Amino acid sequence: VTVTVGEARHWFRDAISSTAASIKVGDGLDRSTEMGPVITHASQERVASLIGQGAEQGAQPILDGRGKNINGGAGSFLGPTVLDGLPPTSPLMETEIFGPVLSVVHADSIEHAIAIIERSAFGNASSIFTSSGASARLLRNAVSTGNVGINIGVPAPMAWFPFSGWKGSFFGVMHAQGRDAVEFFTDKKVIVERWPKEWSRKF
Amino acid sequence: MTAIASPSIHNLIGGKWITSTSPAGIELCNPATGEPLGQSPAGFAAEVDAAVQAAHAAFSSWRAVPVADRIQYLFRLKALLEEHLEELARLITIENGKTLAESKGELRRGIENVEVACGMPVLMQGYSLEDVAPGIDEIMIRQPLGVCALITPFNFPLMIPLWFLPYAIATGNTVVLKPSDRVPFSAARLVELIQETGLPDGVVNLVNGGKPAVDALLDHPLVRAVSFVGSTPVARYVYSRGSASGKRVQCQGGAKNHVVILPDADPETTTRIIADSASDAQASAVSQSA
Repeated sequence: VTVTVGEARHWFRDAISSTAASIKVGDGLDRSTEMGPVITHASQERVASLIGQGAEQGAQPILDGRGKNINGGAGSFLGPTVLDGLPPTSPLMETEIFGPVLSVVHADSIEHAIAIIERSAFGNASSIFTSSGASARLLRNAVSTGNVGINIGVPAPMAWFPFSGWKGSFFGVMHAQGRDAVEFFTDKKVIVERWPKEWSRKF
Repeated sequence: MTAIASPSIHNLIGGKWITSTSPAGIELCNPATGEPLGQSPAGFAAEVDAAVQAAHAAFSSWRAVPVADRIQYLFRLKALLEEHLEELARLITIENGKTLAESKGELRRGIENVEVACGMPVLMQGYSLEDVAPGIDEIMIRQPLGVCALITPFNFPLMIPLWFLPYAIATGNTVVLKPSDRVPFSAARLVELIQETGLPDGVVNLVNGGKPAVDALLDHPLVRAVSFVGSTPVARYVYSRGSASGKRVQCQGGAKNHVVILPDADPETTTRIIADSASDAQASAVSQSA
């Protein structure tokens, strides 16, 4: 989900729809392909129906990837889709789409944007694009997500950091990767030992 | 449920590749072409038990191998993964659908974990303190758990197994890997390459299947730990059922990631970065495009 704040909605809407429309969709084995299919036909149908629901809930599909004849009709493809102006209260905000669908919701302020993030049952990651360190710091401090990107689209931590996750995105204590993985795959044993023969205990 | 699973999908149990005798599970096809790829086994408790028993049998000698020797297999695995990068990327693309560049990207992230786990002689150290009382010393050491089950999803067929497996074996555990029944082929090739490193039989075992295999792992008394990545409802289920049988469990669930764009962001780079990350068709758990 992209949350545009204030004036960003205008330039982002135009820029993303033209950039997304130019993505070359096809068989991933073809080196010029920029986006492949979804995993199964069932998944393709499910995503197509979610795009329809988004439109019913008030979003405008400014780019609609349904019903495109991609790769000669073989395979389970969908084109890139942009759902602009999805209401922040839409049930789609809580649905993991697993398809090439970018939902765009609009917020009045960064505080409003953070409130939208905090309503989510998930807590995998969030990102902010800004030139203001103070705004980035505000979001970094406030959000309940395990990974945070600042001018980074997909904040997937490197292997020597834990891949974190909060709320409905993670159950447990230790995460994957790095020191958390060492902690998870080992148990601690604490040995208390004495060798001298003389009695040293004093009260 | 009378058909037998595709004969090309095997389990690795105690160093031997064994054709599954499980009832057939889901039909597999290349998502880009519709070409049939075979049929996954549904999996059943007896097969899972054989894999867990093999892992259990290998544990006592594997944990006694010094950590500096254990990581030699990971150095070899790193070299083999680099050497077979193109071949593995093609396998991921054929069964999962993502582009070759994305497949190579996930392999790169997986290989990083092999590299980090090669530091286990330092990472696994405990700590100690002399004279906590007169003449008395206290020492904390870390020991492996035993048999660890790794249950991994379809969206990253090789990166997610490599999130867990290198650390599990470098710390001295033995493993049963159960990949998603939608993407069994790349995990099988990974396990073949692991065998090529000369790793002792039974340290890494592979079992295929769907929910029956997962339930058998969650309930098995010899499985000490479960690592899982998947959707939130299944993550919650695996966490509850695994914990209820006394296991240590880590479950990564689903994601619905938010990207906030402020008016003072640079329009050109912002749009380019978001379009690039959103072009992952499967909008997976680490992508925010959904």
